[in-house]
Amino acid sequence: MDIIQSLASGFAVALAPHNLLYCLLGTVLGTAVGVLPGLGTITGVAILIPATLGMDPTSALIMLAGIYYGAQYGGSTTAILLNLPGESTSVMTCLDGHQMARQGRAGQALGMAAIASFIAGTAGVFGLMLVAPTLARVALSFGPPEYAALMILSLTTIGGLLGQSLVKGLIAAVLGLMIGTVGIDTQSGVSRFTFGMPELLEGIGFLPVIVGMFGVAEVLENIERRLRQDAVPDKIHRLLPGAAEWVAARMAILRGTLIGFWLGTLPGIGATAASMIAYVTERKQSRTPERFGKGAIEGVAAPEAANNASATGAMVPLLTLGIPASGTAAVMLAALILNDVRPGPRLFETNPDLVWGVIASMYIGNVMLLILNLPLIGIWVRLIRIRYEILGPITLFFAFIGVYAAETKEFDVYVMIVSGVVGYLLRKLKFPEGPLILGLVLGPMLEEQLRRSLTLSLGDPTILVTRPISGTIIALAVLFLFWPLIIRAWHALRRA
Amino acid sequence: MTLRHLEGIAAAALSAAAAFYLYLAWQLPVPRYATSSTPGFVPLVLGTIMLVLCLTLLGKSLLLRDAGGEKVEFTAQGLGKIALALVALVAYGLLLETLGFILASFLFLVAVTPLFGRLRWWLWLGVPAAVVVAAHVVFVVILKLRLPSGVLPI
Repeated sequence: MDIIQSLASGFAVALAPHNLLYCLLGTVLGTAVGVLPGLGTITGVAILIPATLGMDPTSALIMLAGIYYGAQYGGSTTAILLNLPGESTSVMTCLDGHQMARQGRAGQALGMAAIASFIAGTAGVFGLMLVAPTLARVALSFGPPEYAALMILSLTTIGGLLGQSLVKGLIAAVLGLMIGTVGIDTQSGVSRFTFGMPELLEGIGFLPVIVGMFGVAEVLENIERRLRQDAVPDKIHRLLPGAAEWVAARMAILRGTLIGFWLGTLPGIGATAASMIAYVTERKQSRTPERFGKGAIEGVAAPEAANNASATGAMVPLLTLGIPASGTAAVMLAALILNDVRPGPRLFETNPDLVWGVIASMYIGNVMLLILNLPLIGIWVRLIRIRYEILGPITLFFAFIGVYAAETKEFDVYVMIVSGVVGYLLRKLKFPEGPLILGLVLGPMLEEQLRRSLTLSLGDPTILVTRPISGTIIALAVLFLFWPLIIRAWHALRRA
Repeated sequence: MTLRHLEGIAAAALSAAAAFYLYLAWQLPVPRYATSSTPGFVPLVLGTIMLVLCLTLLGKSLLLRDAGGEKVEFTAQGLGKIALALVALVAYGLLLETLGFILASFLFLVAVTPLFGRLRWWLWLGVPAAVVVAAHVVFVVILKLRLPSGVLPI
């Protein structure tokens, strides 16, 4: 009953005309971000954060969430039509979606992608609505050691699971934490690593680093490699899948939704891995696995359902614990903090209008996205034709002006440029940038919780492992960290 | 250059940076009232972890055999374009206050567009003009953001 009442008040907030407008704006921008090759979700959210500053926090979050899950819808369009995923989460959709397009079934593939995304997105919001308040109630009993342990778990799993190398992921995470220590120490007033520069006293801002690391670095990379843009079909026919396709895809949507939602809530897995696991599961389940990769409708339905459910699942730890489960969620957390919203278990008590307003807006946003991606698909097909020669300079311009306008500080622009160069080098060296952003965002919070824990224990660091909940979380973090070594040792033992 | 070689160089540079960070963390003053943790506590822990991780990566790149030999491509033309884009960004930052938002933004967009490829002249000049006018309307007229007006009386 509590949930129904809260949801009803959430709908009252979300249906306010200005919030409806922001929800529409977010879903339109998100779809555009997903559709346009060379502009990923993280880049899109990062560049659009400044547009939300100064807005009412609820409206800002409604719009940012719309961009986040809207990009998952949009990513499938380029994957199906061009065999070029607008998003890494749509990689698996390319396999069968593009084959369907080549067989003249682009309409059915796009229709199935939109409908699977809608069903999974809506079911994901339902899951979020049921799980989040319960988790928030449990988390209310957490103290500083438990929070510190959760952040360590998040950093080790995301650092360890993103990218190809555990060491590189962890280096990126620690680098982010180190950047987070620049500025005045809030507990002692001592200035750290500022080299006498007054601009550094307040620390290095999230926004210029995030925009530089994703927006500028992505453009620099694209300048160098020149994006390939293939021909796009002029007209898309027959968007609704037939009865046989529905029957074939219905269980794939269900399984994709369940896999996506639960994997989305876990740190480090992310929507890309969720869509891959959903695709592989579907192929294994199938009586005719040989159809996969040759235009099987289930090969479109499962990954699209999984990536949308996963994006919603990632909101569970973000809203209830203030812990991001992926690189994109880390950027969302930064956006929330910049909008004066501190996610965590108390958010449900202190700001129910915001939380439930956003949850309700996600139901509305999914309906908007279904309309945007079915009858209005022609608009997005035309958008794909925009050449990168036009889009690239505009991305760079909005990155610059967004960072400058946020605080009107020239110094922030130079931080963004340096971050862009660092981000470009990290990409070249195959270091994942997600853990760095996570470290930067979580760094000050982790330090605060660690030092509060040490104050509680009178300087004894074993408090992190002796309390049951924090001890279990730390044990999980260690297990994740050494998992590849454990597996290798196990195989070596079996061989011996 | 192979990825393994570049990783070695990056690991060596990051190790030196981590050592310097540790040195600075060691120098941080300890307030008299500090009890269980000091301002240098977390930086010392982070610097040590970073140094260990970077030395591990350096060791891997020096000692392990590079079976795949994955290459990292840098072309002179690509790096030249990147350098020009960065110079344009810095120049935009320096000229923004003097020339103002509209003029500096238009010049920036016109200057960087050729780095991305060729456009017909009317697109090359028309798109930047349209984007700058639209951005001015959104940022200054609608969102009421304060952006430098510079030499133009707007």
